Amino acid sequence: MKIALCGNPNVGKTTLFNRLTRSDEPVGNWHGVTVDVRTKRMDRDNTLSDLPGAYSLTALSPEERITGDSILNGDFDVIAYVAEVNNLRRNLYLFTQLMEADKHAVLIVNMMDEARGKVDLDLLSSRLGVPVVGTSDRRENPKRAITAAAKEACGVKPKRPGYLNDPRIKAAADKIRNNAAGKAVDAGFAALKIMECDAYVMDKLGIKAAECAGCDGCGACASDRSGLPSRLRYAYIDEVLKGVIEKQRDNAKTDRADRIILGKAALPIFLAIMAAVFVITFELGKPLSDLLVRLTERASDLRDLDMPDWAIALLCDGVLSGVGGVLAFLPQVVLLFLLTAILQDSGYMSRVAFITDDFFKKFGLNGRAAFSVVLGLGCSATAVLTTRGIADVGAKRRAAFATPFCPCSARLAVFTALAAYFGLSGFAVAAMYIVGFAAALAVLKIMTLFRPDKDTGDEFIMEMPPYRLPQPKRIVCVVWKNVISFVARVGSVVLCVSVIMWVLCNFSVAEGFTGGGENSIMSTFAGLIAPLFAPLGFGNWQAVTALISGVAAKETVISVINGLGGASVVLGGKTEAVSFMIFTCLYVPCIATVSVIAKENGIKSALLSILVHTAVAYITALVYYRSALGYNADKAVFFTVWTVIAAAVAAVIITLKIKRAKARRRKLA
Amino acid sequence: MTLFDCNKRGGGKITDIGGNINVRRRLYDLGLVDSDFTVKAKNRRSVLADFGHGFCAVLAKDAAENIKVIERI
Repeated sequence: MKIALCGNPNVGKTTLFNRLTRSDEPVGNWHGVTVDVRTKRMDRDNTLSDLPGAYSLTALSPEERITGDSILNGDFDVIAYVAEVNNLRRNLYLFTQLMEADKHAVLIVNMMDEARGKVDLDLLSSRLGVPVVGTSDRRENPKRAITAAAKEACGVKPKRPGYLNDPRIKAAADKIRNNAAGKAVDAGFAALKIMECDAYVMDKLGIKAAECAGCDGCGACASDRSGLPSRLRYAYIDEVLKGVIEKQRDNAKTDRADRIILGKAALPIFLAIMAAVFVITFELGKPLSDLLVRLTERASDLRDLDMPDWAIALLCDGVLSGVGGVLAFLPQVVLLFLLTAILQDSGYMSRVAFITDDFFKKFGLNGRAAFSVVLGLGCSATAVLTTRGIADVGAKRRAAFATPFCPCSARLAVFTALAAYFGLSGFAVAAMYIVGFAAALAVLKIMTLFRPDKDTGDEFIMEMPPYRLPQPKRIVCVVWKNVISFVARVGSVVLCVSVIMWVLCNFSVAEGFTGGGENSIMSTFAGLIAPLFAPLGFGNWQAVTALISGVAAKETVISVINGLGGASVVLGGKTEAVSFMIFTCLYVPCIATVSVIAKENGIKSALLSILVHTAVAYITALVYYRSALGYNADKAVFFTVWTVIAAAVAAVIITLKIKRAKARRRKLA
Repeated sequence: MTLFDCNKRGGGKITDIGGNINVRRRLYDLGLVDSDFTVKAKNRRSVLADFGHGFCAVLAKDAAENIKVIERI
């Protein structure tokens, strides 16, 4: 059987999908996490597809279009519809449309352990005429129950909702019966969709709004002022649910928490939480990280091996020093993954979108961008992918452009390694995040100058999930998955790049193995462009080689530096190290991120992204290094942070002045 | 009076939904018409309200200004 999982956003479809297929697709306690259809084998006989969340088959967002298309045109045998036990009334709205469209369906009532009242699933099943399965994370795997229910649903014609016999619906259905018959669309379903001005259904039936065969001239379908389809559906749902749910308790805990979290102190609380995340990440992870650094240094000093010199050099300088140098900062990366997973699972992230919405709107985005920013702390490629959920094309493009400025976990490994080596304070690492965010905001503000003169009012409504206690099992799974992904990248991409870079840096065309030095292949190539970086304080081929390798994966920056003699050889002193950190923070995103930008927004966007990132990185590092020559390294960090903030403020002022001038000219005209 | 005019911790009943067809249809889809609501938080561009039946949502100012309400005293 081909089974499709569908339902409203944030009801637990993907969590259920992961359980049924033993997958590890990303989940989060906010809507908009799943943006594409994923299909996996459930067992030998059945496949399961996870569809993006939707409120209706009449799509208003790209994800809903995918879901609507998949349900109406896909070849699924059964739709497994997931509803949340505490939101059954609203969740069943889309389910009624599946019944209208004559789809075989199973109802899965999820999160039963969080039910705020008793629910009679048997009564619900008899009223809807479909099998109903109750599930939750804490119960046993529901695979057998769902498969059995799906088999049962396949053999039974779904019950038609009673409101399809309403005289107004019947009259409209009769008018378009001929159009619908030829297109394998149920006339009653089509009549309701035409009343809702569903462009997809009207197009499928060849009906134009002005010539609508379902309209008797009352104007109901052209502008559905009465909301007749919605009222009929909800009246039916209220009848179905009578006696099914015992009186539900209010969600008092969520209300109490929201009074504080969304009160006057909303923004300070958010900033305090973000500061706590960074302090815990750096301070708690430091002791273990220092130990791993010492172990890596000892391992890479093991040269008494019965192997050729080049093999010893490859093992110690290329592999152990390179890969070990990245893995030594795994503790900080794990802590960051853990803390962001807790924030995501708790339901706080949706509140962050509301709290920061005002702020992001000034930069041509909306609160949804907060999701991408937080995800970007883990991986920029994933963060850019989530911008797909932003309906406004301009806001989506801007969010995809700006998100890679926010330092990811790979860059964190580089910052902490260099900070540890040069004895820089924790503030230097935190400052990289401030510089990254400030640069993102400055670029966004400049981009709004080129935005067409209209609002980014795409997200006019966003559901706010209740707070949930982060589930330890789910948190551990998410962290484990991210750690495995990080280690796998280190073991594959970083290892390959480290070895390739080591070969290019230790072999020359004429002499073969040179053991490093100025005659290697890479030194010749990187040496050509190294002078460009002299004004930034690291105009040597080793630093440039590390930056080039960082295009593949940012972690390789530190592994290549270790392989080329270490940070003191490549960078010299503190000032040069900070300048290098700033450049690494802001320059070209990794190849995975660039390819996602190209896929989502086109090649031009990706190329522009590379250009702008490199330019911003160069200018910012230049400002820092030149000012550091006049101050000491720490003061210059402050200077650079304030300079970037000043640039952002200047961009805001210039934008406002230009807008006012445009408005005045329009008024006069 | 519209939803956006309500103060924080204010509430009432939604009587009509206006605005463009997509906004209206989506708000009907969510069962907001004739439902009670309580405002939980508000900023310059949006309002967060509890619409009962376990449904809380943030509405942008444009959409909230097209929702007619009778305020609860």
